[in-house]
Amino acid sequence: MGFKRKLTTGALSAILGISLITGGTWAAFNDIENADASVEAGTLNLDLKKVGKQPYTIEVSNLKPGDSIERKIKFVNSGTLAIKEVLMAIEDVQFTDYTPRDDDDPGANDLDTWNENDVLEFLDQFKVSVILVGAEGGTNYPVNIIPESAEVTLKDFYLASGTVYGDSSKPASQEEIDEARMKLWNTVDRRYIDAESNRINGASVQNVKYAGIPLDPSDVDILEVKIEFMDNDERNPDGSFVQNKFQGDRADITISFEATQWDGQEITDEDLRDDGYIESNEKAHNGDY
Amino acid sequence: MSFKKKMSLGILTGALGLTLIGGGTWAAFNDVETTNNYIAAGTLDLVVNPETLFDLSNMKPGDYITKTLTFTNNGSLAIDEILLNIDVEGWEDVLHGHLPDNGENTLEDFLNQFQVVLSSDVYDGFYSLAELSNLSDHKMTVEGEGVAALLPGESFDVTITLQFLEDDTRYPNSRLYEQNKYQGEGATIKLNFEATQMPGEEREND
Repeated sequence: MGFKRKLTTGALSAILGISLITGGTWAAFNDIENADASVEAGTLNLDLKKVGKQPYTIEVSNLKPGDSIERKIKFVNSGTLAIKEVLMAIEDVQFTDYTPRDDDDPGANDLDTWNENDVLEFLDQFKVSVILVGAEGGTNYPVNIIPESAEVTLKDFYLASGTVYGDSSKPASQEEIDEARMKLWNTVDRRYIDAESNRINGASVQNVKYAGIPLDPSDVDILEVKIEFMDNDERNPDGSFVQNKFQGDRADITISFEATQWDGQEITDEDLRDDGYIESNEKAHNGDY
Repeated sequence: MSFKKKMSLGILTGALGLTLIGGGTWAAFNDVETTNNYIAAGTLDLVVNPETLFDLSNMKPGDYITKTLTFTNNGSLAIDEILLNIDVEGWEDVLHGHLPDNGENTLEDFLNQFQVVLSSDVYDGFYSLAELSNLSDHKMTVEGEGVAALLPGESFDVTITLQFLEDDTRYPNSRLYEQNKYQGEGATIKLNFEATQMPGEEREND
């Protein structure tokens, strides 16, 4: 043992001695009591399902003016928390303007067939004529949230809805975006527009107990959408249809469905099952109806 | 009186006589005094009610609950201080494949989603559950060492409000909220209260 070690041992013993002395004044009685608290988060989980054998995605090519596409989509709540809204938006569009492959293409100079146009012009050819909320039926349902007379197109929905990339990411000026929002608010049933994001809520809201997609009572919502490739008989000076320029064009559209939670609530005994599970979180409006 | 009884009485008397004779050789004066003393330890007994404050599952951000903890001195000794220590048990990271970072998070991250407000007549505290779980020997009383916080028979309440905080931060370039990573996660918080005795003192008789 080196001198340093010895010194430390000495010092240690001294400290031990001191602590033994002061130890005498310490309290020797104490009492320990326990209380437990536990928390566990629920899950918010929306699943999109087919209605019957029909797909809910749109994968259609070789369209011509006058064609229409009808799709149904089923919203299923696979979580443990009630879903308040299903906010929908065209999140992103990848556009390909059709051009002749090379000069040998037989119609290479037939410009009226594949003249240039941008994504917004193309999307504006597609009228969203029906958005049927609660297509599964029931009291007050289904509701068509777009009136027959409305002329709302995919362009309007694309420009109106706030996306994660921000307004500036869109190929449009702020005026055009504001215009689309105005159109949306003036045509679509306002109960189904989310004011903050300008997105459409595809879940039913009118029957309190069934608002959104609650788990209790169990609910499934079906949304039906009809999109029409509008028929426009406007002609160019040479007699060709203006719409010819859209031939061969393609848009890959990403539509997002965002399920939201109900607002936080004060938990009281009435909200709880015996085991502490917050039952009212399975209900629309937190069960306050 | 039967013969048998008479006989035993005779023997007894004889024995008594013998002791008297023997006693004669002992010291004859003495004085015996007794004092009655007692020392009895007191009891230090804190009662915390209820033992299960809450046992919540299926919570969502924004939900909150308020409960009251009652501390009672059920013993005979004054309680000097009540010290809180916390253990957290039962947490496990739940992963979510659809989230950009797989929904990975630490226990500390999870506990930071909860805010706890402790309040009583004389005491207020504002913590995240993570901060609370890191406290050691946290004083639930304000009187300080050597001044009784709770006399025998007395009690006081602490109101505890716990809220699952709502945070609208989204993942970059995504509509998904970052808080989604906490879905399905849970933990048990064990609150451990220690009541201490007053310092020793020189005592007079009762």
